[in-house]
Amino acid sequence: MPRGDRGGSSAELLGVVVVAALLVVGVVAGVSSYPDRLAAELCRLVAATSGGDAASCGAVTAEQPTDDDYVPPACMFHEESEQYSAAVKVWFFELGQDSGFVVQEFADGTVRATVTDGVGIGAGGSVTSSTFDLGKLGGGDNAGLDVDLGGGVTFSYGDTWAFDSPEQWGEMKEQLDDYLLQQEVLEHEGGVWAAKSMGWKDPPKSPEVSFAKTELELSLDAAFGLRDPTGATDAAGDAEFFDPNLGVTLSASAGAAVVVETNHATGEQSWTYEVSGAGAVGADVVVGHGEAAGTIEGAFTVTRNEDGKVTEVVFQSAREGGVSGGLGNDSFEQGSGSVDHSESDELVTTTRLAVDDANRDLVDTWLANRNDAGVAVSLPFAAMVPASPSDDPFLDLLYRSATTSQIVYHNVKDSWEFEAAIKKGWQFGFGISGESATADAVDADYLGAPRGDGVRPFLTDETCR
Amino acid sequence: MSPRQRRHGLRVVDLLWAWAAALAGFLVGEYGSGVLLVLRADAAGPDAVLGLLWLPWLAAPVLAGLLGAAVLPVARVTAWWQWLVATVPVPIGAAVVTTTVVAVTGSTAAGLLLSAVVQVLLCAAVAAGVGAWRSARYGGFPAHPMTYLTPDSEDQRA
Repeated sequence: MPRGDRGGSSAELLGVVVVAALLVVGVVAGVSSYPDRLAAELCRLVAATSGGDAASCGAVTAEQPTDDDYVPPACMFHEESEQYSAAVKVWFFELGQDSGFVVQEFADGTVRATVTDGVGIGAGGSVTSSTFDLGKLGGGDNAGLDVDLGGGVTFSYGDTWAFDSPEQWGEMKEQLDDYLLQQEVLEHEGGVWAAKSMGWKDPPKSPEVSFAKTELELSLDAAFGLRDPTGATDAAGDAEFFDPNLGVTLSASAGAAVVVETNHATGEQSWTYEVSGAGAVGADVVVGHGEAAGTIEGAFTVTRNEDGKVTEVVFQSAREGGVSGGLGNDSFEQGSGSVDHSESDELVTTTRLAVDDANRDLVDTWLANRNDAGVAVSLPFAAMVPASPSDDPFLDLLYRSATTSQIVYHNVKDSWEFEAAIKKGWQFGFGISGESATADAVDADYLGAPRGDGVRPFLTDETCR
Repeated sequence: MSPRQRRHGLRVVDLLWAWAAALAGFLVGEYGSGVLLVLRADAAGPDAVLGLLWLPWLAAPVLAGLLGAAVLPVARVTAWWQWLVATVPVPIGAAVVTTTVVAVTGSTAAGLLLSAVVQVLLCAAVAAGVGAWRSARYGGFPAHPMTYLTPDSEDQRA
């Protein structure tokens, strides 16, 4: 060994050790950082070499969604307490003989107060029927019902205020009471001095949300400027029309009303279509394994911002006798107009897709696509529970992005009212009637993130009970 | 009445002082009554207030006339109309303010003009009454000097 090479073996050995150490550290760090991904890749490698199925090896995407990403928004901030134990708690208080509010508390603490004419609200706040009457909404050829609270304070039936907390609603109620008293004081001779000396009260703030109603045919003309008859007629002989913006084929019968909810604060408008189907396409998925007996009824809502862009799509349905974690096998017993005051359980299924720039093109395409199913209502009821991937791009989008909740409400005194309210687009808060006017969420589940087998399982929503 | 007497009849500083007192009386009468009404409403409900709506309306001009006329220096030459000048501008100004409040808030007040007129007349009546009483009590000619007689002879000699 030349004199100049002396010590070289030691240096090379040290280099080998350093490189080996770096490799070990790198492998350990990689395994600890991406265990699922590495396991999936190893699984795929084994499957490829042994000829097995690699489909069950799990996803390898870097940003794997978690169950938290699919928690329904309404229950996200729910607090455990008796008062807020229901996702929706409704009670009534009486302002005047012919006026009243329906006040809804949500699981996240927000409150909505809606003006009604107080019909059905008796002494003590009990309710007998008709908590929210679609026929009293204005819009179309109907001027709507004005609700006079007294003192010259008049709102439209269905005007709604939104509050961040029950305390804010309490302040609003107190202010309204004071303002009504002031208006009464001003009616008296010299009362203006008393009103001024007691502290001048400003009128209550304007409602954020108003409801209107229009017939389907009018909505097509007014909102979209289009009327596209399908050439078919429904069972009653009424012509069917196709809504090119909603992708909904609906029957233009007398009952085909569209509820238009306008949020004056955000400029958003929500169009809610009552939907029902009996044995319609995909209905077997909803009722469970092909048992399509009876009818499913619900609502389909498309919300657009002030620029006309779709921001949200919501499917909602309700049926009596809910079973947690699934849709059950019992057939539907939907409302026929009769009033059932016996207590019951109601299962409410809500699937909500937030639409943004990333998925708006796909949603618009789906809304614009003509459905040739040839049935009165051909909404993809399968979308109600997007638990599995689909070849349909829109249904697959729901599978990947939508939140789905199934909540069982107990102590529902009037199932017919309950379900009818949902059909009217009475989202989150349902026109629950009955002496106690409550509905307790006793069981709540939501679709979690896709698992390794591609299925989104139902998970218990602890925040919503 | 000589010019000297007129100059001492109603000085500006006295007028301002009387206006301030009348304003204080008006505010105390109006808002003090308002506080009482609020307390009454909290205790017995809004309906109990409706029977006491006259209190702020009438207490304000009464106290304004009372205080305004009470602080105005009285002199033998104080005329009746000076008591009114010292007090009535306050309810008139209050009526302007109240009308503005009602108009700005878009409200309607029953009988606003009539109630304001009543306040002005009431304030004037009270001020005139107080002024008349004070003039009678303090505004007369000073008493003639009295001559004293003393039984002491040395004092009589002095």
